[in-house]
Amino acid sequence: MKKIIFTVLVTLPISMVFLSCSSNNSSDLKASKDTSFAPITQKDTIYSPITHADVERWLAAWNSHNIDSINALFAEDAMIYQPQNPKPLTKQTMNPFFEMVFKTYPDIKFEKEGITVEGYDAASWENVTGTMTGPFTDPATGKTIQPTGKRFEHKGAMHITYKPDHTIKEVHIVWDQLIVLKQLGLYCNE
Amino acid sequence: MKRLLVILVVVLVIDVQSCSPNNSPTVKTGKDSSITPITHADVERWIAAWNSHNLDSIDAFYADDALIYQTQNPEPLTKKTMNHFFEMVFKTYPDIKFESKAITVEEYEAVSWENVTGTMKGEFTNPTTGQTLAPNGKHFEYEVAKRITYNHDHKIKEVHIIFDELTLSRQLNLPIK
Repeated sequence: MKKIIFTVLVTLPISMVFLSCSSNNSSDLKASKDTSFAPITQKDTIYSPITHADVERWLAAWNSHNIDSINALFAEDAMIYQPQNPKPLTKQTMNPFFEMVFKTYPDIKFEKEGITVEGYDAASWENVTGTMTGPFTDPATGKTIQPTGKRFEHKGAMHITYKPDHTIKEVHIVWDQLIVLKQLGLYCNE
Repeated sequence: MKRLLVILVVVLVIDVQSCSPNNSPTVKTGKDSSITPITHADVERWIAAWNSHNLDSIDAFYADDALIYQTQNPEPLTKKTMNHFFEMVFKTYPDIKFESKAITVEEYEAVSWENVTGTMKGEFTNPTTGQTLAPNGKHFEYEVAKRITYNHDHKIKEVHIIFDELTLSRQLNLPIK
């Protein structure tokens, strides 16, 4: 009996240490997860994957109609691709184009329909509305179209690729220009 | 002393039992796997089904109440109407191919960015206008974005499709209504 008691008394503290270690380990795991609640340092910001907040900022900048705010989201070597455009827009060429868009459609609005993020990749599904009250120069043809005063509404899918510093590296835009041209009364069957 | 021994053993057993669920690795059951978020593999299997041109394989990906929205269509396709439409697509464009450019996945949502190519070798009935177009042997290539929402059993609940119909119509030299 003394032997049993001795064995229990010896193994119990060992078990308790083991259990408390296990417990500490799970606390450690929890604690390491909890560090996400710690203040974010500059280094953390740079290497953390993007979140919905990055895409929300993109939408807010577009809805502000402030060219500088939009431009600031892009990296120096950023490219914006649209199947309809012969060449991608660059950091240098995007500002005059965006400026024209805001003059052509002064009430243009980008409404969030859905955001999906993974690593440094984002998909922003948007409902875009506006009224054509200014002239528009087609970047593909160079032709200037006079305003029709008509309203458009279409869906746009933006595939946004970010750099680790959360600036935008590439945007690929998919939308149906036929719907917009028809709504604005600009489509003539070729 | 005996009493002390009993207390110690009971305390030890309780401690071990209370900690064991956290310490033991759990085995994934069929039920667990049905509530895991989707991955790129789900979208890749769906694209592979499209490239197989096998209607039953494609149909199996969709939930019974699935809806497919396309900006050009007045009504979404349903599980009942999709097969007839897909069958026509494969007859119109027998070489139609869906090339994955990128996939973005988060929980039960995915966006698939694809490059679609094909040749118009069969007639096509426009679901919006009901107008039937004769084949012209022309080739098309366009980019498409598909937003896919899955149920927890990994069946597709909704698909929203965006592409530029103007690009497609110009390439196929189709009349636009």
